Amino acid sequence: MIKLNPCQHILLPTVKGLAKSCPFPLQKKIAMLFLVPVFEEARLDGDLDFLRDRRIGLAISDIDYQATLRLENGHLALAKSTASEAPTDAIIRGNLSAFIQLANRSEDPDSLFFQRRLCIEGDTDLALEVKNLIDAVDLDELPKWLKQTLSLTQLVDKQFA
Amino acid sequence: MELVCPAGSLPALKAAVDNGADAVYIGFKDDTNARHFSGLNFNDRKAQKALDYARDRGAKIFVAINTYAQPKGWARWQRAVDLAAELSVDAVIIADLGLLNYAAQRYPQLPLHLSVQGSCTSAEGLKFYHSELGIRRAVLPRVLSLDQVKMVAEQSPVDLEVFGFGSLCIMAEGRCHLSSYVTDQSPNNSGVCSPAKDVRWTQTEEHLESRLNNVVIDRYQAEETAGYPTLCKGRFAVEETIFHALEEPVSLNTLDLIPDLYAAGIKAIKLEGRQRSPAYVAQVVSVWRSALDSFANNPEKFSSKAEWMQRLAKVSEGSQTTLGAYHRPWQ
Amino acid sequence: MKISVGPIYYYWPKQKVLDFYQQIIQTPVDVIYLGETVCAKRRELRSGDWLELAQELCDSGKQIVLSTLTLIESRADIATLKKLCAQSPCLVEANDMSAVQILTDNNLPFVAGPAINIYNAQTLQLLYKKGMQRWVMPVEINRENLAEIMQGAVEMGFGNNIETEVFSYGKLPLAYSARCFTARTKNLAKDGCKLSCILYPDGLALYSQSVYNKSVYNKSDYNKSGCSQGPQLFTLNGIQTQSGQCYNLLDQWPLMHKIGVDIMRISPETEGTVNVINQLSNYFSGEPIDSPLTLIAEEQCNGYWYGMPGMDAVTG
Repeated sequence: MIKLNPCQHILLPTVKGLAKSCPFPLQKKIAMLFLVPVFEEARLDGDLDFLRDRRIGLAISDIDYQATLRLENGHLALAKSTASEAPTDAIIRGNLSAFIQLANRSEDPDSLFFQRRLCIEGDTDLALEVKNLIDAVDLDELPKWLKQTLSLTQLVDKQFA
Repeated sequence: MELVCPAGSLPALKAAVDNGADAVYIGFKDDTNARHFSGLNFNDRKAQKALDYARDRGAKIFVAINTYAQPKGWARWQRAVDLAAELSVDAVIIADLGLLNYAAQRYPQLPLHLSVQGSCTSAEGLKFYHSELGIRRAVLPRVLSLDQVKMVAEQSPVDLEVFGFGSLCIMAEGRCHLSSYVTDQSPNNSGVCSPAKDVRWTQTEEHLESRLNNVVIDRYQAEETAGYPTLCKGRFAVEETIFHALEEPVSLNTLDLIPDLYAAGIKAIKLEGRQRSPAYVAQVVSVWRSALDSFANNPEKFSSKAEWMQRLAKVSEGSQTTLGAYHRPWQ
Repeated sequence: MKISVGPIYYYWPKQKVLDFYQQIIQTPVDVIYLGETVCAKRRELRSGDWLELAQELCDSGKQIVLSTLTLIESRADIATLKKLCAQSPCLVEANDMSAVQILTDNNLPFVAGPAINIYNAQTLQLLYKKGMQRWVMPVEINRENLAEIMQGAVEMGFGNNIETEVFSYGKLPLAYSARCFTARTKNLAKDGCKLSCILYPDGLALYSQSVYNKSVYNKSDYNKSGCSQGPQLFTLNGIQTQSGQCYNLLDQWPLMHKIGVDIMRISPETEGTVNVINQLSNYFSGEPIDSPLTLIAEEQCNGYWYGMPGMDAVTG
């Protein structure tokens, strides 16, 4: 188990609370705001093509959150998972802290996986490709506002480290 | 000693260079390199960017074209060599005899390194690659003890590079078909070991289970750390006991041996992990940079710091490290 | 088509080895490989004994080939290698590039063994120019690629000057390691291994957990492709890892003949090797035999040949 420091005691429930109470359409808008520019270079290189007709689930266990990542008009998009939809091709599962560390690159995903803080179910190759897609994003190429936001999350993340 | 670091993506390359790599090795985006994983590696444009970034900061770029050229794809392997030559990279790392010959004939100025996949463990073997193909450096397989490395180094006609850190192949590299026996792909024929397409993870009530093409590789209890589902690190039944019959999931770490490797005349240390993230590359390269600098500044007083070892253990498979073949029980 | 017997991969007592070859020379085999190819620590037959045996068998009317060690680790290994290459009364099978170097240094012809990585005609050409007379295809290569390599060699003008041999029957040599897995099973360090591999004249069986634990093992689940996959995954033989199942390409004889394969290799086991040679020889001469995939009551595989996982058994 990860020990929480005092700052995390405040932050983690806040982030969890936000994720839970924030209505999904708004979550989706916020997600798109980040996803589109972050993966623009990958899209232009054709590196998103592998996701065509594939769906990958992201399951954040400790806040009971599940979303589906897929392509919409060639762009990465996040959709709310519903009980009625078919199972996704792969699921990446973990706690919120692991996802935050994954997203801002402060922790190596394989290490998270060795430590059992992240797990993969279903099509391992697809999940691996998503992992490599995230790893390959060149932060230097991102718009300035986005870089600043990301460095802010790294500050937040330092509290999780 | 030169620090040779892995990069499977441009951000990983930047992490390597920024943290003190002397050279970074990369692969092209196809089966010509031994980390042919989905979403990994460099297309032409990214390779050029990588080269520019490294050159501007005084680091070298090596290109690994280290799988065996399949008869139907010979032109693809040729093109990979052509592209590396066009980019005028600092060296290409090749295992295939035919491809080494092509590179040597076509681009006499292009420095050639013999890949670890070439499985060369003796000075006699190295003489062949040196006199016939003009290689300048060879990467030694992770099967030799320190004394054996010293003996090879004493008589080697070329510079030697050894692995310093990373996931451990316990089989002689280039001489392992375990992966293709269970799946259809191996490092030699496809540039992958335990291809992800055949890997399935299942969480049951009792354990987390990994399977490769339906063959159970391991079952982990709740408190156990997981490993890559490679055949050499699974738990199997031999004589009615289930155990790591070949090897435990551990990483090689030779930080303690820096003075010995230097004394043996080793010219370069290679870090494994082109499939790993930029975060891994940054962490591992910075530890090794600090260690090599500390050794260079005061060789007599060198000892590895607990903090370095902890940082390396954190990113290790099985969270454990080993001296591998340098360790006595292997001999 | 000729038949060969490959080197004995296991550690057998000296008398058993000598008896084995006395039996083999009575069979219709054409080529006999002998020598220690797995572990330099084995002592039942030392290099002098192998040279002597090779010399004796030279009069048997069979072609005798001396096989060399695959994983070279020490100067002592190199010294043995140099002695074998210099004193061999017959052709030498090089199983490592150090042997290729020593043989070419002495202007001697050689056979490139299955552990020399030859995956294309370009590599074949380079070795041909250095004196290679025959190559044994790396075991994981499939029939299409083999045909392509051989066709390429012919187009490059040397294909008809070399012989091609295919590992066709026996447990496949899959990997070589610095570690000794037999010693590990016995909980012994490698330098105190007590040469325990002599206890396993056909190797030590390794099973997958699910297969071993019969309550969990579900045959229909395991055989997803509908192929019959035997339960034994690998065979441990000292520092060598072999396939768990017996590779069997005997029924592929007509296709091999068509694409120009010259020799089919049979790998020695304690039982049945003579039988397999006799049956294959009968097969060549057109005598009907039982279904070749059930020559010996043992789980068998042939996947590599078809470009499938090596452990698969493909029918038809």
